[in-house]
Amino acid sequence: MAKKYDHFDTDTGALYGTRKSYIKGFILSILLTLFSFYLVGMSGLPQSTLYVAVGVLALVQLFVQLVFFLHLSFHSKTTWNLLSFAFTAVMVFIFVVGTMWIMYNLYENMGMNAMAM
Amino acid sequence: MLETIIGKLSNPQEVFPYMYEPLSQQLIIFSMLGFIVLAGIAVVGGITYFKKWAYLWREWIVTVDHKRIGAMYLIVAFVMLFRGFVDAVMMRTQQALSSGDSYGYLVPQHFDQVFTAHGVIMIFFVAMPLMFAFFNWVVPLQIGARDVAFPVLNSLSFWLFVAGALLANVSLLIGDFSHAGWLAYPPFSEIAYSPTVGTDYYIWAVQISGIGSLMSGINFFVTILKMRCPGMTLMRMPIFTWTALCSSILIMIIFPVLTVALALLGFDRYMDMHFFTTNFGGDQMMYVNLVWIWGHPEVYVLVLPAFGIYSEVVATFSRKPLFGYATMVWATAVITILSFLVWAHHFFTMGAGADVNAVFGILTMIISIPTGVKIFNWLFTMYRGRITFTSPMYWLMGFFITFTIGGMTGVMLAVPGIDFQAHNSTFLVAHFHNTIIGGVVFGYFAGITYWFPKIFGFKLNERLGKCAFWCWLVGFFVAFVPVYILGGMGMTRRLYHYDASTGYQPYLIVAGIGAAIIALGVVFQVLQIIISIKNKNKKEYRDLTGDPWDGRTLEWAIASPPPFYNFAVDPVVKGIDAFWEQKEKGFNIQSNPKSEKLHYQDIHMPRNTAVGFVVGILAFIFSFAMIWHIWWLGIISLVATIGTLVIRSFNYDTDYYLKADEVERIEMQHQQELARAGL
Repeated sequence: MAKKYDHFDTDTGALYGTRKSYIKGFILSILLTLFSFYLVGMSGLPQSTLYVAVGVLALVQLFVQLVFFLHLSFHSKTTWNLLSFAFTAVMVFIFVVGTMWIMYNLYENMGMNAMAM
Repeated sequence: MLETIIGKLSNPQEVFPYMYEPLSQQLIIFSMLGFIVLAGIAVVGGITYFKKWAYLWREWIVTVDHKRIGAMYLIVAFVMLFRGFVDAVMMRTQQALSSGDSYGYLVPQHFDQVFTAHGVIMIFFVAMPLMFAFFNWVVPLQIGARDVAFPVLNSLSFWLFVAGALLANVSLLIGDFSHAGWLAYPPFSEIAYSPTVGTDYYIWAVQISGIGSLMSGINFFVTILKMRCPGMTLMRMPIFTWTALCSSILIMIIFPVLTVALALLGFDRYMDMHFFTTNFGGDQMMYVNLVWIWGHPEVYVLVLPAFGIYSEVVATFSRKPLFGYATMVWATAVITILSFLVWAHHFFTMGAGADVNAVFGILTMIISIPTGVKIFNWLFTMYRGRITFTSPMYWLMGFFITFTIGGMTGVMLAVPGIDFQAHNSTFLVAHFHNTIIGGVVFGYFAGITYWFPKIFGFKLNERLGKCAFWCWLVGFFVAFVPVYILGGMGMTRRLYHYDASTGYQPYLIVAGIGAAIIALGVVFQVLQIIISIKNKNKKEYRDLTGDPWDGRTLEWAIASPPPFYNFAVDPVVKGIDAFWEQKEKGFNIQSNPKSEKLHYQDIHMPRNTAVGFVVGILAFIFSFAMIWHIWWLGIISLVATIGTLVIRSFNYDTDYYLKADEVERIEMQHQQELARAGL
């Protein structure tokens, strides 16, 4: 029979959040969002730095949400979750890059201004 | 005032557009209405007369049993197949007649709807549900599971699909259907050029059933990964289960893309946005790109399970293990990955440069390699096998020839230079019918004949099955070889009328005759089912052993039809073709010597629930309200949908235990029946 840990099911490899982990994730997400707002609104950084900073913060937040809300981990019992996620990421990458390649090639060949699209 | 209450329904021109068309069109619509009413009276009257309403509700509508849900998928798919086929016959007749001075019997705006409906119905409401019918029937049985991972979700998927199919049919009488082809390319599908509700019907029907498909994909993915019986490693799974796994992966990756593309089109139509419009920075080419990111893998979603069926059929009827099991698995996986990388070959002519077209052209051609591996595996399985020529084997051999021809024209079209000539011509139409009928349809028919005794407990009539096969095979070539030739002559697809000097007419008449031969095949299939049901208790039809074909995989180890809990004890598997091995060695289902007594345990079962049915109805009402701009009804039904799901999540009485002695009683009863039949 399945032995239940506080947030982990050995039978199915499913991870469940605890109240603590959800609150931790929630607070981290809020902080990261507020920090982005602060950078844009009050820090006075040059625009190019802002782009990078906000992008990095968004990426960090993505991982926070994956770990705390979607329960991805490197635990050996949850390999399928991680594998599915990695596969999805590769596919999304192919679709996005493929689409950009196709569409910019189209615009170029058809004499359209890509920036106006 | 009236418009705020019933939205666009207040405008009779929108609701009954055919009343403003010539009398001939009304005759078509009303004869169809008459057919629906008569069929409806017959069904409702029949159920009432035999007092089956309570039975229907208790045993079918609220069921979460994967076998029953599979059977319901099958029934709805066949009803829709009938409609899709009538559409095909209407198109063929129109094109055969509409030459020179004659304009056929359809008006253009009606012809538009017919070819759109044909494509939408055949892919979304025939092929997809047939595939899910097989998933539901076969996957849990092949992996030795009691049900799918999420039985309630399964029921919900089914009823969402029914809601979508119902929407497509309601559009016959109330309003119109999309005029914009089966993928609704903008800008034509935008509100500026398609102001009627037709495109909205299309969007909502596909969206609702698409959400159902996505959930089914998740369901079977989890089922296959998590619910295999002891000993069944991934590389011991039957090939059909492998293809179901790959197909589910494809579904999970691509259906969200379709959902987003259609949602953006919906935003354009409902909220005056400009994602795909011709002005204000809209880009209709992006829709084409997005829709084919879904559309190309979709054909592999459909054909991979068909390949799985062929693999099961060929091994069983050749009395040999499948040749090259591992290469078959890897070929399936390679096709899965490659199918994500070829979508641009659907729009070579849209204006991309040689780099893009060359890369996607070559990637497309590469897909023919793993597919070729599969074909050779099947051929080598037959080589020196002890083959019995049952009708599933007929479908398999018909598939070899038909699909190989379709594959070769596919490689031709993958060359961008040739594609520039053949694009949008009937050559393309002939190509994809060649692969879909020859690959998917033949495969599903083989699968239905093969697994029918497992699900219903009796075999189908072989003789009529073979008659149907010959009609389909001959009819297919008579119908589509002329279409290839017409494509070479320059005939464009979806053509309403053509000049007599083009010389198209003789070919189109031959194609129409081909459709008639296929129709004869369908008649044989209907007869086959009727006659088999009539004789189901006769010895040559009845399947008492549960193993009518001397099968190789676990589904044949249990009774036909299987008890509702499938396996009385968990099977234990020691290799590929587990059941065959057990038979050879005289083992029981747990791979122990037969003398060892099976030990029955309590079985954990899900309770039936109406939640899927209720949400299906609410989704239908919601979509209908959105199509006709009845905002208040839309809001109410949406809130009710969410409310139903919330209430369901507070219901903790969702399962029960079937007692071990009850299991033993049912199993013993079955043993006694077998003994009485002398087995």
